[in-house]
This record gives sequence, structure tokens and C-alpha cells, in this order.
Amino acid sequence: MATIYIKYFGAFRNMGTGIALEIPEGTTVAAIKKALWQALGAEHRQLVEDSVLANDTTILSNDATLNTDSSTLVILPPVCGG
Amino acid sequence: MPSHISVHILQEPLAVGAAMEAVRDPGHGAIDLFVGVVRNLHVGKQVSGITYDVHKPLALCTMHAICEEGTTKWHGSRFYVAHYHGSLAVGEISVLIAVSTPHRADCFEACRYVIEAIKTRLPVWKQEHYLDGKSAWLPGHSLNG
Repeated sequence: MATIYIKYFGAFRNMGTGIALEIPEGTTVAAIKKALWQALGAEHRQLVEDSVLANDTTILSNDATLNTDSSTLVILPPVCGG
Repeated sequence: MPSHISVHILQEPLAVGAAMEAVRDPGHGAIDLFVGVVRNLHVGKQVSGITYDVHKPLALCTMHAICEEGTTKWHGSRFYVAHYHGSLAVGEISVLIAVSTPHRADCFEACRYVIEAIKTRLPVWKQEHYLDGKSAWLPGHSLNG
């Protein structure tokens, strides 16, 4: 198991600054998102599914797998800049 | 970073003059500016201000990528893009875009391209604050591919 910290942005900030999740090595991004909404509660499922996980430079696809240098990720809800 | 692209996430007031100077070019006869400001009304609610949340590293990468696309579409064009990070009152500038090209038609198109891409791709979120004391995060465009 690995511990990853997911930092919140936008609407997720209503729930704090972030969350730590225990994730098996090799877990997909899709599975991490599922673990996230399960931790937050089913009422947040749609928001999580509409969001993406990313690191500092790249948005991660849902079928990407967690690697050893992914100890911190960010969850990015739908954007509305400008 | 090539000198024809200048991108910024700022927590200080955005300056129109600096944007114009960044894209000025003796071979370019057109400079187009887009200035986005906080307005006082949104879907019937009186707005007092907006707090902008930004994922800065990814936002800078995305702004640069958008401008790179612009230089490919409008060869030789120059771009300056700045987005505010933090809280603004009604009337203050949230986003500033300057584009220069040799001729005006390309300049209008390129500037429009950048602001539309920012609206749908930039990792920025708005929390609106209302005169009744309440606040709300606005819905937006999903970054899911």
C-alpha cells in the first residue's frame, strides 16, 4: 500500500485542504477517484467524476496507474477561468 | 520560454501598459487587448467580488501551450497573458490578454482564440461573493478528455 495526498482546488476547498488515501501500488487513476468519492461521500461522486487528477505539469488519464513518484496529486474540478 | 510568449499568474494588479509593451513589435501593425473584469451581477445575484483559485504550475504550462498553438495558427504573432490569483472587487481586472500581429484580422482572431481556450482549459476556479454575505464556487468546464 502507498499513501497519496490529494490536494483540493475550487469547490473541493469546501471540504478542507486535501485528503490522504491508502492506495495499493499500481492503482489506476479511475480507482483513486472512486476511493476519493467513497471517502467524501456519495453526494460528491458527480463532482469527483467530472474532475481530473493531475501533478504539477500533467493531467492524468483515468487509465494511468499510480507510480512511486506520485505521492502528491491534485484534484481539479471543472474550470471557469477568465 | 520564447520571447514572443509571456505568461503570468499574478497576485498584484494586472497592468494593461505592461501587456501592450510585451507584444509590441516594429513589424506588427495591430495590437489587440482583452481585459476581463469582475462584474456586479451573475444569474440575478448581486456580486461584491470574486476569489480566483489557481493551480499555478499547471496554469502556466496551459497558458504557454495555448499561446504556442496561437503562434502556429498565426505565424509570427506575439502573446501576453496574465491571470489574477486571489480576491478581486467588482470592476477589477481578472484576466489580461495582449496579442500583436502584422494585420488586424489575425489579431482579433488570435486574441479571441486565447480567451476562449482560457475559459475551457485553464485550471482556475471562481468563488463568487454576494452582497447577501453568501459565497459559491461556480460550475465550469470539465478537463476530462
